[in-house]
Amino acid sequence: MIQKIHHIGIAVKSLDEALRFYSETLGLTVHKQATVEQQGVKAALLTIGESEIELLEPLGPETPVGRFLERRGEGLHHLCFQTDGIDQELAGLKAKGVELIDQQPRIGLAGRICFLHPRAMKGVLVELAEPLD
Amino acid sequence: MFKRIDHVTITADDLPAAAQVWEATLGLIGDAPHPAAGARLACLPVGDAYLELAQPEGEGPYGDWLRQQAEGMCLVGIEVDDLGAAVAHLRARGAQVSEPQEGAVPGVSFALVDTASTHGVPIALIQRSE
Repeated sequence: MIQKIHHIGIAVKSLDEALRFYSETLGLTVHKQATVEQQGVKAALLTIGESEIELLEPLGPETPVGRFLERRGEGLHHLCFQTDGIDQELAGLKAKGVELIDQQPRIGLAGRICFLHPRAMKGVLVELAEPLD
Repeated sequence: MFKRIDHVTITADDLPAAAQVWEATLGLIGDAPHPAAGARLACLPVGDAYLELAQPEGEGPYGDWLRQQAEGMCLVGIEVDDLGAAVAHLRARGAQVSEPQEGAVPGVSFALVDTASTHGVPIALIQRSE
């Protein structure tokens, strides 16, 4: 079941510069920061209420976020919802024929995650996450 | 000061069809679509926030703004306790923020933070009166 907005993903050119606004100016706390080679990003998660803002700097121009920046520039990249059962959620989506990017959950910054194809969601890149902690 | 994500706005060129997709895929159920300042909106609660599906319709400031946005997610609403104080806080740190104004929904006032300050993200600071 979908429980809440886990985070909003924002593509940025420079994580350090983006942190100046989201951490220093807005005063949000950085809850996690890591380089995720598999996804080609350097990322930071900042807590805001019960949700988070995820800043994503691409590791290179040929990564998914790098290509997004080239095409659309900095800005809103994806929307992640927290679920209490990602396996059931994925099975249900497959049964309904929803177009997926990930057929199986994988490990991401937010826990066990998967992405739906934006074509399935009217142009919105949706991620589902089941936190591990 | 910046309390929580209040809502995420998503543009829709066909509001009933978009609402149907969110319900069928993720089980998020919207309220009845309602008009607001040149747009038709449906709100889909999720946790302590909501998704706002927004289709420009007729004339009005919100519809005019929506027509200028890219398809998909186009705005993040962040709730603040004191809109005037939040605007002053951001301006003092060099961010460009609009004057606070009344929202399309009664009891809501907002100010827009310029995307040049937010790395491309339209952010509305939202204050809800009790």
